[in-house]
Amino acid sequence: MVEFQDLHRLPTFEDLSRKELEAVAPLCEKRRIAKGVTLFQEDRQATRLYVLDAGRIVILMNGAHGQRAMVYTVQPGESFSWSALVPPRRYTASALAIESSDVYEIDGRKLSRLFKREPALGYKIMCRVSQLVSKRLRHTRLQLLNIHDWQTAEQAQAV
Amino acid sequence: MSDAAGSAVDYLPELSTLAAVRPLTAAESLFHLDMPHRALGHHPGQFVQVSLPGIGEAPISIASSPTRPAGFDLCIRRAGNVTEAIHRLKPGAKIGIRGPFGRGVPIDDCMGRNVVIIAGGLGLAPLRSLIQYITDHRSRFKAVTILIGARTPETLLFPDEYGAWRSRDIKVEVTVDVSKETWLGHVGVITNLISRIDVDPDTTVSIVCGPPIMYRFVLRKLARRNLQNDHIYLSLERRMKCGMGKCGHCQINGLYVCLEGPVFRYDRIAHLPEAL
Ligand SMILES: Cc1cc2nc3c(=O)[nH]c(=O)nc-3n(C[C@H](O)[C@H](O)[C@H](O)COP(=O)(O)OP(=O)(O)OC[C@H]3O[C@@H](n4cnc5c(N)ncnc54)[C@H](O)[C@@H]3O)c2cc1C
Ligand code: FES
Repeated sequence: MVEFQDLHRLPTFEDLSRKELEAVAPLCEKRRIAKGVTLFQEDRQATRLYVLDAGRIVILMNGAHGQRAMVYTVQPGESFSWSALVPPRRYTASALAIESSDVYEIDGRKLSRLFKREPALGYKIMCRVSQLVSKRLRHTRLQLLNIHDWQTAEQAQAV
Repeated sequence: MSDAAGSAVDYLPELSTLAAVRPLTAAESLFHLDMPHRALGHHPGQFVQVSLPGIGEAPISIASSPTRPAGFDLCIRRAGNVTEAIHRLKPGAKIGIRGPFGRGVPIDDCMGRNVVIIAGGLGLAPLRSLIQYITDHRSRFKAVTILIGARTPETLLFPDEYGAWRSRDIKVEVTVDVSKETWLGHVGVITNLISRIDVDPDTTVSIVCGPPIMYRFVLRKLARRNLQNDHIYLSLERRMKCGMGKCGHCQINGLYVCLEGPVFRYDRIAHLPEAL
């Protein structure tokens, strides 16, 4: 069983009061994911929000010819699969454990219903989720800017 | 190191011999050169002017440590006239060398401290000189961490050397922008790796080399880890001709990168609008 103290140390929930954490804790389950297991698949129905406690999870996207590209390593303490909280509730990417990992799994629909009952709690968590989405967007922009290996267009063509 | 005045000798290329070529990636190879009559006598972070008669000259960082005997390494990306021509050379060919030039990494400021080396793409080439220096004098440095970022695993430089660096009690973390599923390292931008390491602001110095866009974000992240500007060194790249403070090609706000850099302490350039 997940205790409210377990959740309090995770950035996604650190703004919540004890009472609010106690309301969220029963919706959470802690799971060990074996190395090599795909947690969820792109385009499938998004049912669960995850928070990585320990280990390494990578986010993958389907390429044009069926190949999958790794695009992001989730950091411990980070939540992922926020698609489970917002319509149309479809995963926008896949998640794979490349090391044995511990995650908190939260039922997306139950959490949304809790938000409706306790909007202040919902607001706090959605603020954190927005920060996560914004971080990912910034991250993607840096990848587009070629942050690690800037070359002029001419240089890239010369190679 | 050349002085500001530049002696006549500094203008004359010395002919070195290309001893070996090791392809690294599709665009970069490692060239091992021997000087005929002398050791190069460089410091990590310095560069040489490399020339081929009838083609031209280009500044290239020295990619090996002065502690390694017999010759020196240059890691060269095919980018234009000179570098393309060098890539076509076979062992035994002659290459003109002027230098070493510029100010490298102040090793004394790194000794007895924790060192965080941050390299993006080709930025690992000049930093390899420092890394080899550290591995050869490991006890003089405290905790050493190397963060490396590249576009893909295929464009990573020197991956076959990371094992040897790790065996010298150096933490090496690697991230790529995007990868196939066979990659077991991190995926994402290098700033994510900075969040994961221990940084004691009082005892840590960081040396950063990479594309200009990387500096902005890495500096922001280092500031968030409370590292002061005078504990950060950056290697700047500017178009160069003479390499010795004569032609003015490399100037930023009156500063000669070829003489006073390419490695600068960040607090000394932070106020210069054209620096980053
Ligand atoms: C201190 C220092 C250290 C360096 N270390 C390395 C290193 O270790 N390895 C390495 O591979 N490279 C290094 N470089 C970069 C290298 O010097 C350049 O890529 C150099 O231009 C290559 O010469 P080239 O004749 O092959 O290419 P160039 O013919 O100079 O062309 C290179 C590219 O730059 C463009 N270009 C040329 N001149 C100009 C100009 N005036 N304005 C705008 N664009 C121009 C060209 O169109 C082309 O795309 C370093 C540069 C500096 C300043
Ligand atoms: S390259 Fe000529 S002054 Fe610096």
